[in-house]
Amino acid sequence: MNVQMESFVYDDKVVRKFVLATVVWGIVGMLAGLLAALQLADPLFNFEIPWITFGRLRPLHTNAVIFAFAGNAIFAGVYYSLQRLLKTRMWSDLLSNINFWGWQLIIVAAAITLPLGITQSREYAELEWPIDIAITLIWVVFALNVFMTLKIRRERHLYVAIWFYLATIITIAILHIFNNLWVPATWTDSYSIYAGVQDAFMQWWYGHNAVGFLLTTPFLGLMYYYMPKAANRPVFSYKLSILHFWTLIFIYIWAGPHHLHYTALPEWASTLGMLFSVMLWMPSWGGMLNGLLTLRGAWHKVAEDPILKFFVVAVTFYGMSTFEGPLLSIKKVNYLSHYTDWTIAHVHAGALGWVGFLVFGMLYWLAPRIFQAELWSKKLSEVHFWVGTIGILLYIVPIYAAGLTQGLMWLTFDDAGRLAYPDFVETTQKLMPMYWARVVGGGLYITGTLMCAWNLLMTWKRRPATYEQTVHQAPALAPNVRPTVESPSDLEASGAHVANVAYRLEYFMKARWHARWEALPFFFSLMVALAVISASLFEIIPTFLIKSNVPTISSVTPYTPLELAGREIYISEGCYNCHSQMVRPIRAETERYGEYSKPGEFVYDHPFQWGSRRIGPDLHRVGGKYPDLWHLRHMKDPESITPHSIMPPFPWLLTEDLEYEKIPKFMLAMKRLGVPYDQGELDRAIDYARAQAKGIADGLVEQGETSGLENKKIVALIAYLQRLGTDIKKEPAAGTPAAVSH
Amino acid sequence: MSMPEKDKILDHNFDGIQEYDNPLPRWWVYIFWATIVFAVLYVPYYHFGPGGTVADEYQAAMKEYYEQQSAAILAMGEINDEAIVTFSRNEGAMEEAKAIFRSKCMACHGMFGEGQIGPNLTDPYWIHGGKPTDIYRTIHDGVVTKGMLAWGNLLPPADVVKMAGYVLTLQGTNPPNGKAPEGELYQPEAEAEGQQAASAGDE
Repeated sequence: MNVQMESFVYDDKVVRKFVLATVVWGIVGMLAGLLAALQLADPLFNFEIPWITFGRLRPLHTNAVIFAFAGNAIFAGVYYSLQRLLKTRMWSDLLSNINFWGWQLIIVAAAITLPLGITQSREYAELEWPIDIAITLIWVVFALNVFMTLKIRRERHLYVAIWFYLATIITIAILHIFNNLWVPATWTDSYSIYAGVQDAFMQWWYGHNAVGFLLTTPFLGLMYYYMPKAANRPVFSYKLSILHFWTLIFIYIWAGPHHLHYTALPEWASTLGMLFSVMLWMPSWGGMLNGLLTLRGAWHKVAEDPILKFFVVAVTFYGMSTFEGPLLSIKKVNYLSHYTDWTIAHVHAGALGWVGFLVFGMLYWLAPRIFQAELWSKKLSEVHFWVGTIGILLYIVPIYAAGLTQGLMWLTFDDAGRLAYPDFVETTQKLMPMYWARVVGGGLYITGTLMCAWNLLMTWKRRPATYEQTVHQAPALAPNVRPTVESPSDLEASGAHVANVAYRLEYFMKARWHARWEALPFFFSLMVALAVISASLFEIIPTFLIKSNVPTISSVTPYTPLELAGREIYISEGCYNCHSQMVRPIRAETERYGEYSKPGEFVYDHPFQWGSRRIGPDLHRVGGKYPDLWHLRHMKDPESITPHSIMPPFPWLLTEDLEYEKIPKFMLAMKRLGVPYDQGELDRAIDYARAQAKGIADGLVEQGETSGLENKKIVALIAYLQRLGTDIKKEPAAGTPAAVSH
Repeated sequence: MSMPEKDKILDHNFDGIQEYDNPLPRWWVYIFWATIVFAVLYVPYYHFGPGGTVADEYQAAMKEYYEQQSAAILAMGEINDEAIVTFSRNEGAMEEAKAIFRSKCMACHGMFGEGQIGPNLTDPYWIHGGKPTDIYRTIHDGVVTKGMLAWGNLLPPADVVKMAGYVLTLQGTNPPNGKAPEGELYQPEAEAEGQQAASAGDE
């Protein structure tokens, strides 16, 4: 046969850059996590510095480890493997570089804005709207580069790793765009177009699937490439790959509402979230099985190869987390686990074990190949493995214990039927030893990461003066060739006389149709998009269209101008990271916090502030519960009011000026979203705000505080907190302008 | 590949990676089906059948609690000055009350009742009445406009009585940094000379 061979060289330079970024941001993100862990063990570690106070640091930590550490690792792993799996260099080095530098700029922007308190307050989607746009553009660059590379590929069929890469690219784009629909108020503020119940639904559709499609599917793809490579063993089952891929991506999308059990979300949605999570168990385990069973016959290698050790532990943690996920999604389990550290332990088992260890295994495997030098110290990577593993266990075991302890304490009643631990802080105090253990575990894990960084640095130092550019050869794909069907027909081979339908059945059962799809990357991508979009719409459409989901409450009115400004401070300081605003219909909660939260109470909440973790108590019914002076002193120094409180002090709220001139902009953006402010209110917004602020400040002066507080942020925050959850206790306001009715 | 196995290897190869054509593990398929069956059965049982929704569950829990609560109040009998004074002389009850005071009341009334955001509880001046039942009522119903919570909603009924008793024990303790008196002077009834009011409880 006369085949024209083409020569090509892979672009490893961009892989080296992404590897460097992975390690650097990994260290930054994990150190932010360590500091956050210290702050929870002792609020002293907030140092009364606004920029690194817990509420601003925690989003920095999550964004850094998800988008900077895991994100760069995904790019590194994909850029390396995709070229080889498709036998072609990336389509455009320029796009690869825009992808790299654009992504790093986004991370830098995040690292600057989040400490400044510039945030949308929606978990893992905190970055403000200009950065959102940049993310969209860079993601399009990445997608374009990948799709064009698919177009010029020299390998007809797409390997399973690429299916997962495609699912990631497509789904993350959809999630990012539809969760980040906002109306900007200023350059650094915007409001989600959704409110309350619907905003919560969309956010957790996003939040859950960000875990699914940024921390699961791309890493499964990476596992499918790097694990068989490192073990030098064939993948266990192609059929299992097909089945678990499609079931995983279709079922995953439905599971989001399990983050909102017992909340004001309609119960049908919560039930769907739970049931699809349960059904997701086996599709997830398909990946684990294909990973672990690939090592059949290679277990002796695991004993001597730290890379395989990392992979084995990673896949084991994946299996554990994907069993625990469905478990936690069961309503009765969530009843106990929700808002507790159980979730934190669950997430870290996945993040430190699955994502982290897969990345480390991959980095150690890549290092000699991209630096073209032997790994500096195999021994050190072995030590990293053990230190990291012990670190994970020391992190998660105490935090599981903390979650169970606090969850049970919140729910316990005494013989008289009253809360056994009515003081919230009592349940926090119990956790302190466990929080210190976490600091040790996290510290060990970071120590391991530093060892990895050192090892890679020393390996890089051994690199040749110039990297060798290996030239590969492969024939170009003949255009428009009808893809061959890979697995031959057993029926045909047997020569049996059977009806045509039997052949069709065999075609379907043996997944021979899939072999065709694999040769058609654009059709394949379309199918992925259809699976993900259709599954999403099944939940999204009813959430938005069924009126009875959110019964209106006539006494619920929009926030006053000052309260709105206070809400901005609440968001900016990241209060939602520790305080929920969602009392669940559970007696232990209504006893502690008051009437449970109703869907109609949140219709003006752009974005929602329900929170996901109660490091401190719920705040939905805090309005009117304490005097203004209590709040003032509590914000200034929480421990003086609540001994043993781990809340950080916020003294700057008493000294920083409230930016009154921004209030009309906030209101205008809200008005565009349909919040019924009229023009008169907008015109006089600043006057209204000043009047309300003066009332609060005068009251504080009467009680002995210094004057002048009406110009400070604290009064706006007090106004907001005193308003929270009070509307349902009021008579509906008749005739008065909505915003100043109380 | 040195493994003695019957697994069929597929004839494709991606950058050196091969795949077996192994069938799906049986137990994997069975559990997957089981979760689907569970999902299909769950909806009719909990949403349309006897399982009950979250709202039903909450109502049942509240009903049970109200029944328990009314039984407890009935068992305690009538709340009057005497009952409160009796509690104020019960050392065990006052130890408990002190702990409650330190956790709930201290933030506003100070550690020793000397007053802070809230009024001084150690002087004989009362804004809302100084009779034991007045004190009980103030604690129970709160003075919401001034920030005093309605503790009747937050504490077991017996604890509210104990707290009223505890406030009586603070009278005349004269702690440091006492807040200036507020409200009206209240002197226990004519028969009482100073603290002898308490002796009424002995009978």
